[in-house]
Amino acid sequence: MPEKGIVNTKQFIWLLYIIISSFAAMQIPGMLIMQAGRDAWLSVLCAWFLDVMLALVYAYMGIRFPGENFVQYSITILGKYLGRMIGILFPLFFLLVSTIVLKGLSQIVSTVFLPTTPFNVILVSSYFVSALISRKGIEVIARVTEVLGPLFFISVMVLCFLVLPDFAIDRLKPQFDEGVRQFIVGAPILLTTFGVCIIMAMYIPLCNRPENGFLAKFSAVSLGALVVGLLTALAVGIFGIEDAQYMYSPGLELAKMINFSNYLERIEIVWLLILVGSTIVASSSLFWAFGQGFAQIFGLKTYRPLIYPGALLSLVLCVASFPRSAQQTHFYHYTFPIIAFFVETGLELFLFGAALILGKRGTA
Amino acid sequence: MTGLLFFLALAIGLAEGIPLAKQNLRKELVVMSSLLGIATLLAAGNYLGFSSPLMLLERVLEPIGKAVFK
Repeated sequence: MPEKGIVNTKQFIWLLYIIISSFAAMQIPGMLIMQAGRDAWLSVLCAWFLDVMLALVYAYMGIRFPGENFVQYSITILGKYLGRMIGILFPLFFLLVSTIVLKGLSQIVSTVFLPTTPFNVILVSSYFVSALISRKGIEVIARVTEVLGPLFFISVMVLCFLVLPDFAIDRLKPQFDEGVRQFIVGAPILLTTFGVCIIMAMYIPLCNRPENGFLAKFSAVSLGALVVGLLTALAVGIFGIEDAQYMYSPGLELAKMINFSNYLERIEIVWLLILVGSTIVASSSLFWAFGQGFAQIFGLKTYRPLIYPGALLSLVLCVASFPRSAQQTHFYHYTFPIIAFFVETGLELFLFGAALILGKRGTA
Repeated sequence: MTGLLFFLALAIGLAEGIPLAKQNLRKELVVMSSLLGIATLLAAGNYLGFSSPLMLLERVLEPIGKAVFK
């Protein structure tokens, strides 16, 4: 097996949480408000429930195929050739997610914090740092998340607490004024984002207690749902849906408005730390999963030489596919949920069904 | 940007490829070079005005997304 590192359950939780937090710090709350309006916070609850259900399948497969991740058990279930064809889709999906995440990060940093710095400098730097961390291995990434994850969670909670005086609950009413369709359609957008935590299937074989896979995912998604739910509810309750739905990062706008008697101000820098930290670490996890998955598909002894080429491939895709920020947002809103739904839910349920029908089990 | 991408591909190829060749890890070298080759081809294609794979995917899936989401 190319990766020999071990993670514990606590690190497992923060590894997953940091991925959700990177999306929450960017455009997902705004997209959710655009889709579901005042009912966005209900979409969060719906997505949380569906994702927990999906986590049961991933956790079961992790136990049914001990010591194997989904790339490996797709080969065990479907055989050498078809299994590899299906299995390669997972690492490619992680590469796609890293492309979207790093483009989103660079866009916010360039627009809000470093407007005079050339965009490509920010983009290439983000890729370089992510790849550098990724090449150090899963244990290093896990230790980083163990420090940053709780820090980011507490920071978001404090930010939410500080904007609470401006919150008007009347702006969240009436619920269901355009029927239930809106919040039901909003749930898949968030589900596909939470669903990136299918990366859990790459961590389960490396966890010192693989049976805790479900617990880790449940805890991480619950924390993530709390953060996204609070941000969407506060953004709607403070700015109203008319303004909140067009915000690129509602959390950033919330942080910008904190001002206590000219004493406590420019708090958005805390948001920048959360955004940069979580996105870089999340991308490094995704590059690691890409390298690890590819190494297993091709039967390589090590995944490390694939990290920088993978990051370069993602950078080229980013430059070629999203020359403007609107294109990334457009892709993330309309195309990504379809791809993600296919990979996160469709492929895994297909593997789950195939394993049951063919009676395949892991041998370790 | 295309020039920078080519330079990065060359730098990564040398930095990763030489140790792999010395250790006689041929399979790793082939996969690593293939990834760099694909990245270089995509960068060249973008420079020449060809659509990227993500744009092609978007053309196929976007109508479905627009039918479902607002």
